[in-house]
Amino acid sequence: MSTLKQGLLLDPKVTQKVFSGIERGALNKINALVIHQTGANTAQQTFNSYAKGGHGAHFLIDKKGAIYQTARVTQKAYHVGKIKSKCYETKSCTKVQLQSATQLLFQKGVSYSSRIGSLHHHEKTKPYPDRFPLNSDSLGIEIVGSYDTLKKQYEAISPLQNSSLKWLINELYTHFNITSADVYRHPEVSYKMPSEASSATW
Amino acid sequence: MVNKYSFRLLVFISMALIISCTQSNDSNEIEITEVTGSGTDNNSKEFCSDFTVSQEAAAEFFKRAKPISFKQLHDEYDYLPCYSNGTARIGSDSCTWEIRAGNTGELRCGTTVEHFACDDCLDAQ
Repeated sequence: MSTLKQGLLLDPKVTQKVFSGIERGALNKINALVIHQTGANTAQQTFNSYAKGGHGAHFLIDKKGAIYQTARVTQKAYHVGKIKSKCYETKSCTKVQLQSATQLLFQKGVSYSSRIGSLHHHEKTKPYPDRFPLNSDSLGIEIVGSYDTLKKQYEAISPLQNSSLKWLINELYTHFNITSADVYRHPEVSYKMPSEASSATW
Repeated sequence: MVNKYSFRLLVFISMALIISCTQSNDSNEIEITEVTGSGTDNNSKEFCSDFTVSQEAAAEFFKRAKPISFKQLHDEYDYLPCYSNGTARIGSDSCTWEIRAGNTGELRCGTTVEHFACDDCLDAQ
């Protein structure tokens, strides 16, 4: 079993390759995991991008299933984006919640970008798990896979990658008080291409 | 005397270059020829019910939008399920376009796909 030390997940299966430029301040509570796909064909392309800072995630699984830790789990990374309304998406809103969400989503005379911006700010005020995870309470796991712009489809995640993902998620379950209900594909949580991580299994 | 001819020749070449560049830019202009429809991903008809893009709005979007990389599209923009699409012409190339409610767009000419974004090009709905 892996151990956690100073934000690092220590295990022979995990290669440490932390990019301090994608770490964005203290992450005090981990409520959830968000699964992503890189949109690039190689891990190196993502490492090159992380070296410049900006957006990033905590772990990366390459094409052969090798796991890299790219940010400490004690640090936030920008990997989520604006969140959707969880109760609206899962059709579990109370009458009052539904009224608030629809008021923001269907606001007349307001651009769609403003609507979802307002919804994000509204959702942020809710405690987890009443809302989707944010950068401030989740870890991101990237899986290397390209995006076919003609087919509008992410590459299928390989059995090797899914096997590593399953191992990693199970390790994170044991270190943090989370369950399978707290693991999300990126497009479930925020407005992203629907096929991202759609073939991920855990 | 030689200097005078050289100067005139330089002016002539410069003007020819300017005209040539202008014509070249014109041929790269995106001409929106038609709005063919609109749609949604993941059956988001209710959420997208207000979203429409006219031919004029599409032309304005691509005139003002900036090209972005796929990474920028994914990291910095919201990929909303609501879209309008249509046809366009760039010079002699026939293309198709798509504009999404999150201020993003794409242009497909043959097997080339370009992504665009414009933060304030879409009207409030």
